[in-house]
Amino acid sequence: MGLKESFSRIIKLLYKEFSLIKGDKRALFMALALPPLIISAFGFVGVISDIEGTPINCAVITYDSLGYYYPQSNTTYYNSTWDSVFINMLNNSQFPRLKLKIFYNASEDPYSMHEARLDLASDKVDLIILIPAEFSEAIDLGFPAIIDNIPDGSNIETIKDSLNLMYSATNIFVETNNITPQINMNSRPVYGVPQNANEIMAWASTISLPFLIIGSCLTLTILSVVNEKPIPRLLITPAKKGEVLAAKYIANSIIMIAQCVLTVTFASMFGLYIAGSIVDLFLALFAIGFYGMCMGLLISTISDTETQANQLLVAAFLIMILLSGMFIDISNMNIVLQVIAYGLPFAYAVPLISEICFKAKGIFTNPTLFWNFMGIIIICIVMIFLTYLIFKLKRKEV
Amino acid sequence: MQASEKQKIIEVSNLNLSFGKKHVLKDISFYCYEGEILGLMGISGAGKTTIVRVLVAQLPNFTGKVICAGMDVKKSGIKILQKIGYVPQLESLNLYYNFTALQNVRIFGSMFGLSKKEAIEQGKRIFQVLEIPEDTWKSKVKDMSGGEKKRVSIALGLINNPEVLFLDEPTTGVDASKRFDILNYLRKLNREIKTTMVIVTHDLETSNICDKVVLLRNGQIVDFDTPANLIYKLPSNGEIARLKIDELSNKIIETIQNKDYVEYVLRVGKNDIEVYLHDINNNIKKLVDQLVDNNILVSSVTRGEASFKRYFQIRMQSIEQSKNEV
Repeated sequence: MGLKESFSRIIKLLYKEFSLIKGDKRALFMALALPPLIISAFGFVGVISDIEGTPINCAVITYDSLGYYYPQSNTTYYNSTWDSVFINMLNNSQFPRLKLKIFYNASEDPYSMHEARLDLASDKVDLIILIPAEFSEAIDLGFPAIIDNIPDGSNIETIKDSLNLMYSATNIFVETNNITPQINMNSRPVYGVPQNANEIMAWASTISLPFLIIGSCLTLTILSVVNEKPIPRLLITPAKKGEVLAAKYIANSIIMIAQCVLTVTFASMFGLYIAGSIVDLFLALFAIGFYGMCMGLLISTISDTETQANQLLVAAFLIMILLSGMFIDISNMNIVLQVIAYGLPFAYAVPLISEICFKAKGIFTNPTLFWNFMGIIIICIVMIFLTYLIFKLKRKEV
Repeated sequence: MQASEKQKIIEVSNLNLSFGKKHVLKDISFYCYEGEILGLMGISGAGKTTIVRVLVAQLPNFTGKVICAGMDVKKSGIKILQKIGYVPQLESLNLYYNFTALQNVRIFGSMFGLSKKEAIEQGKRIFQVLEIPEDTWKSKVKDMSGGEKKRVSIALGLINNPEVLFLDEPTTGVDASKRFDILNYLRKLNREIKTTMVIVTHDLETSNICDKVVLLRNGQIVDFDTPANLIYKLPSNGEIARLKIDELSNKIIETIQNKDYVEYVLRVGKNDIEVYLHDINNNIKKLVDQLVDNNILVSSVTRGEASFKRYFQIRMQSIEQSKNEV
């Protein structure tokens, strides 16, 4: 009888919760409209843009025309045929992203390196390609030739892109000119984004989907408890604290589900690539959204004022981003930070989405993915328990 | 119906409560019959709200016997909430400002198991008694006037047709005319709906609508009776002589106080005093004659009955005096 009454009150409290959510137009907009809009913006960029990524501007310094002394034959060679082949190839349209901006010939300008470094410092170029004096001689003699590249180390993306582009350029240089180096590595990535899918959307969605869903669920729920002043009065009716909270979880979950469906629908309209099961993707997004909601309600319950809640929201979101593994790999963090990172959602959320979307893994067929999913669920259960405990112990007086 | 035939709907005997080492309620005993208005009065920190919180089962760690709405609070716990109504001091703690008055009624009514239709019908009935204009029922509460908000708040307290309605400082923060209106509405509700009311207040004017008053100080009961009986307990049974004396001074007051037939003198204005006398009929003339003989100019003399406010003032002063003497 008590359970039946309790259930009936929760259903009736839902009317209040939905009316409150409906009344807060800004939070509702942020929850329902913002994620689809942002994901659509990513999608739109992917559809209209031909650019595969940010171009890398480079300066080339060649020392190849300088003489090279070969001690075994006691001869100085002045061969410089291959550096111009390589430089011409860089100008070739095969490398739209690797743009040759400045060329220095060290045999004519002894300060080439100094000037190139200044170009790098002033962001005129992102990469210095350095062709050494023995470059042509080594190729002619069948030895491994060396090309030094000095990328702008202040940007991790530039380092990564520079290395990848240089790797491709070298491969093409070797293949086109029928040169036999000691090792030639061929790369054929699998689990990538197929030609017909929106590449930018696909790559962006693995990170942006969890961020958008968690962020908007946090925004939706952050003031839910702290701002509802008549709660103590409601507790002088037969309504119980647990029922008041349960209604909040249910109402916000329904909004969150609608939010996930809308976001994925909009993303799909712009060619979201999902190699795995859409059901698994939705399950993962619901779990991620539920985490955001649980975190929002926990912060709202802990806080005594709206300002406190907003401060805690910013702090929580900052910690989540910094310890998400995007900047420093979680396995490289110290043990304390690892424990915190694994208590936060992105440690599970990003791999979960990327494995489902790119590798077609299933939550219930792949143990690692299953435990990533369960990790989120377990943290949610802990947060619900904490929220209930704090709400129960907190004095609510009219 | 005589009071003796009525049921005691609230009965508190030897109620004691401590918060840690602090003994906040000390041997509190009082009662209230069905349909009465009971006032819990006293200055801030007297323990008024704490008593209400015990009565509405929010503070279970008390000792003593507490019956509210005919139920033993200790045994029935929060089941009691089904039978009571509560109106907090601040409307912002009671009302959802972004909802309409009828939406508020629906939400609170549903918590007591009322259907949407039942809650709205009951709400409309109370709104009519409280004369809340019908065109505001579907307006958001935040757009209502202060007086309308207060009345909607009272209506929510009555939505479950409670046996006892608790009102916490219903007249605090409203201007004098509104205060009068609110007290009138409460009296009207009490007559028309027959709900027992417990009013927590430090507004002494509220005593005008109370059948009984519990006067509290530092967690103890100072007096418990009807307002008329409490006034009757004053010197000279609450009958007073009001004198206007030109150039009134403390020396003149002392002279009057020292007369053997004068029980108590209270200065109530620059040149005004209230004098409580034994055998007022005979001694009032004697007092005026003696003052005139002493060249004290008495410009007016009137007779009347002390107000509850005066009772409160004298009672508190006498407690302070006896405390100082100890």
